[in-house]
Amino acid sequence: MTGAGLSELLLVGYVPLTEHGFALPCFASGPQPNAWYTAVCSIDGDHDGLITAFELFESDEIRRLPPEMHRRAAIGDQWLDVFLWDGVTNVGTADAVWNAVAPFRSDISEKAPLTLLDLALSAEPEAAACLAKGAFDFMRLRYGVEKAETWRRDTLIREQAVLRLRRLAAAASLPQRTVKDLKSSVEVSQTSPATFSICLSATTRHAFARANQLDDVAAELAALGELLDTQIEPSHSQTEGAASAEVLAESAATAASWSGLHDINILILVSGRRAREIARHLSPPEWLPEWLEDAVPHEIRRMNHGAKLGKEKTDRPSIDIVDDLSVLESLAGYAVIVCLADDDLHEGAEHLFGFVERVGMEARGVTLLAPALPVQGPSQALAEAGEQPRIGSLKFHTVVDTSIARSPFWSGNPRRALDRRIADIVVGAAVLCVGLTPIVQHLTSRRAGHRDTLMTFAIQGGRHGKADHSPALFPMPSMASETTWASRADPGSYGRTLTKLEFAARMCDRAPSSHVRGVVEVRDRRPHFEDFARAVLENVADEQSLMSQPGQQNVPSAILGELAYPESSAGFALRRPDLAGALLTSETPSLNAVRTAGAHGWAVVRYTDRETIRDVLDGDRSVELPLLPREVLLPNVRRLKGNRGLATRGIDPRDVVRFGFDDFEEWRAVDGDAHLVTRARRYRSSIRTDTDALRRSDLDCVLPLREIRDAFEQGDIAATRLLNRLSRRDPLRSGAAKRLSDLQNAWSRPSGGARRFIIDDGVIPVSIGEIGPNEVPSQRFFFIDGDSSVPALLTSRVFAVWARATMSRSTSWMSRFSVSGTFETFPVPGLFHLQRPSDGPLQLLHGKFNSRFAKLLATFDRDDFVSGRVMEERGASGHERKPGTLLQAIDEALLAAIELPAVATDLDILERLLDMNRVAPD
Amino acid sequence: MSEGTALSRMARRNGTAAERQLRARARPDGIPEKLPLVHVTAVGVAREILKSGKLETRHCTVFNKRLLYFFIMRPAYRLRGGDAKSHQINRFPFVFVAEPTAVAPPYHVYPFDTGGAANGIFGEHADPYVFLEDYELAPEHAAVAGQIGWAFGSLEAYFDGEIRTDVLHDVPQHETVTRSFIDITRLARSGSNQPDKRASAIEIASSQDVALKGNVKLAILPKQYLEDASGSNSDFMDRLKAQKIEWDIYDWQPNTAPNEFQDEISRVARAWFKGKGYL
Repeated sequence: MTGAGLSELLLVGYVPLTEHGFALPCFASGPQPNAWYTAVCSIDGDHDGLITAFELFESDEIRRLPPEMHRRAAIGDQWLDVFLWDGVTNVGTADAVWNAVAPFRSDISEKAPLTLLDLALSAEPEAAACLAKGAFDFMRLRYGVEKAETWRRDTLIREQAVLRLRRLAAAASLPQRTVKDLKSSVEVSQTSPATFSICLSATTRHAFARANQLDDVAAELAALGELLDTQIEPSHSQTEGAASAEVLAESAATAASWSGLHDINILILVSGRRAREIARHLSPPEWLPEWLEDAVPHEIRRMNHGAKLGKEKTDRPSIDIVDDLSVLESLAGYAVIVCLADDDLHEGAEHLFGFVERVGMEARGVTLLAPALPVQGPSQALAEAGEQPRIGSLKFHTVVDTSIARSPFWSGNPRRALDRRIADIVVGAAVLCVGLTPIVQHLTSRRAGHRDTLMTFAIQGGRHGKADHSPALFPMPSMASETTWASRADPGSYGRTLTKLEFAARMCDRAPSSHVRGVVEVRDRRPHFEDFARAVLENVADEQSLMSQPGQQNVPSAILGELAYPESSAGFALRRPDLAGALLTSETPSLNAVRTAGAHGWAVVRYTDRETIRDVLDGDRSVELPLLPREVLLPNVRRLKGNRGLATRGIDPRDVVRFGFDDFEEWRAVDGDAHLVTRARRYRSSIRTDTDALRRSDLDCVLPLREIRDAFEQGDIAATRLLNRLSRRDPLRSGAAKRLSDLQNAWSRPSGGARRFIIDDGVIPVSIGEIGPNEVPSQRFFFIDGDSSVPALLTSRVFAVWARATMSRSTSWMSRFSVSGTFETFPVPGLFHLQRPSDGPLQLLHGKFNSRFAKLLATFDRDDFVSGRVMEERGASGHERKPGTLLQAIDEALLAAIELPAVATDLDILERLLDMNRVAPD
Repeated sequence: MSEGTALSRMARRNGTAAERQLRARARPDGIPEKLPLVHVTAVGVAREILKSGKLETRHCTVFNKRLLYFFIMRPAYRLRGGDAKSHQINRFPFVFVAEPTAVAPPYHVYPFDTGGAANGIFGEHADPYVFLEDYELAPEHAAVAGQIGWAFGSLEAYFDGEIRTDVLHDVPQHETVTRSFIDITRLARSGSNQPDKRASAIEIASSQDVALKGNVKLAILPKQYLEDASGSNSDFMDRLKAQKIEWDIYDWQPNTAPNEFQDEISRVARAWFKGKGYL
């Protein structure tokens, strides 16, 4: 029996397990109950979980709490604990209990270290490592090493791993069965004194793999390890073999089911970590080639000795993807074998060579090498074949140009992220080689003498383009990449095109007659980065900005010496007096490269960094040297534990039900006393300053979906009326919230008089506003609690430099801030103070600073910054301050606080912040 | 085994002869004749047991006699009472594992929890025309092996509650007791919507108290019992040591559901049985 219909009860009693530590909280409808209930938690054992239901409970051992300790608890509220120590009963959330027992923690750690560790894991994770060590020592001294190690492995680590993976599974909306079965599907083994390996059952692993969560599983376990000052990782065999094989098998199954054919005739071998990341995105192609009779080159016709030519109808192939060749009895049946492999021959070489050896012996069809394009630099496999051992020199019919995925001239689906684009290229290259097609005839006939070739192709307009059959379509920039480039002026200048074939690409998900044009080429593998870089510059701005033809002959050698791939760079002289030149690179420039370039009057910019290229080309705006580009290679940046919870992303729209103000007001008029009504919040979807007009959508209201759903399922009449009003019958998605903790934070109210500020994601200069206690922000914002320190710091130049350098960048989407990359890494200057309240997010507050800064902030506080003063003072670049203004004064104070002069450059600031991040205490 | 408020209770015979069809099905198939006994109670009761040094019989309302109950190997207990309430035992479970010789001879042996059956927790799974007494196995340890060998085929399958898939093949329609028993055991399978491991846990009742010393080999207790804030836990652990009882722990949290405790305790017990060579 559950407490159906009960949405709120009173915590009035408890049953102790022992005379210390956590007790079982007991609830009732009033202070003098005749029926008792226990609460059900959203995730078993999670002290940060939510109350999801109440159920009847019967016991003769219930003890009553004094009236002053009674607490209201509603479904959807955070779990409430009862904690006993030394005759004192403490009631509240884990955080509140942690604070309440502060005077006794030393005593607890001595007598009940396992219990204190439980509390800390929820309330003060930073203390967990130390307490875990203390608990282990306690166990060892009292019960022996074997018992201590068993406790640490099977109780502490296992239970915490289960808890974290359950949170992850719930957030990913995995089936309830998966969440439940986690308890029995996690096994822990100790692989070294400080390393533990987590093995998941095949079913559970499969469930995470299907949801693309295996990386998150590894991250969660690593985070747990960090918390406990040990190393915890998924079982090696699962990450390197079985698990990924399962993911890949899943992809293959998808592909096979798509094909409708049972014969597997494309094999994709996956070797290396980066390759596995890309392989996750392999999917059936969106198009298939239909070869045109008049596109068949003569040389191929001659070299085929009577093979059937002409229009070759290509059936939709099916694809098999593996990272372990032992699962295959033979490779002879594959028409195409693609090896998607990491560049680095130092890691996983044995694995890759195993592929190559077997492919060499058994393959009967076309073999392609597709380099797994590194994120930060070019692929060496795509470079010209040389004497150095590279995967590009391995024996395949040709190498596929995967670097075209990063090109600004990418012709495929523009909404694809980089790894998905590469996956598209791998699959596209494979389907071009299925059957007795012209390109297959060409590749197989030239195999012996032309191993160092490159295959590249383009589809006109990509999936979303309109068909264009104009003869001038090819050559086109779509074929250009950092690896190869066909100059429009002189197509043969970079080397030989061995063959070029045009084809019609039939779009799979459109009407049968829907075709676009495509072209595939096989070329000498000879990079020509200069031409490509110039095309990029021309693409960004008009040619008038350029003073000379590109070439790196004038680039100071000191700058080239700071590059890992100087051969993939090109220097340009510019028509502006403040820059001697700009060096475009194919790699993300290091800080040293930036500083060295600045010292010589140059700017160094990666060709993908279009915003910085625009800054460089815009002669009307001065630049500061050294010029800090948007894309810059940072050392490993630590997530600072003290910053945990500093910023929270706004609510996921899938976690709430949104409705208009009129609906809310009419509903409130009827159900105004209902608890659900009090939980409604205004939905804040714009920064909105006081000078902005209020939009209609600014009045929309939201409620957590799960609260409505639970209330509805328990027969709550207010929930029913709301859903009826909204005409929603089956929109209430079941399963856990997408981002539960963000939702909880958004619904919390800043304690201690703090305010809540929102900033736009990815916008620099930072766009900031303040929200009221009855508002929750949309997910385009991050929100931060605190006092006027928040706008002072976030609109500062110091933060802007950090945020810009740490933003995540994508080929397909705007650059974005992230909680872990931008905020948790930011070393907050000592002028401020981070305070973690017992409930709600971390707060950024005034520190104990000097009186001058106090006056500045006081002035800032009095100013109505959201009314436009900040915007007005901020220059176009976001860093320029009008002399003598308040913002400039704050910037100078902040620079002084991190021991930099007012004239510090952006690079100075970034390097200083990186140093601070490196030495910041854990 | 006594249960709380009843729902639809299993029918009882009133002096008429029982149809003990299950006894004829016994087929040991190499299953050891004597297997460990599991007694589950609440932590508060466990303290009293340690103090008294023995597991004591208590009045059973089902058989109207003082009895002490065990399950063969399975740490099963009620997750919900007959009234669907949760109770002290499923919120604060404590497990003793005893040698089979602790009970000699059994007062009775049943293929499931008689307390649960009498109180109707097997509901519509049980044939309403089959009486509780009809299910009784022979009152000897050997009957346990015969039942496990026939119904489950192995100790592992018995521990997991997974009955043989072909168990019904040679059971004629008119063998209603056997068929009803098989229907009841489906509740214990892991795929059941409302799994209840008691549905196929073999119950042994003793009419005699069982001394801890020499009989009880393992205790499974909440980890918090290892700590010592007031001295009572030290006393408790000392008593376990004095009785030469091994112990293992499970992770007790106030917001852990009863079925989670049972899964965790089963895991701990399974590991111990494996270590002892039973599984």
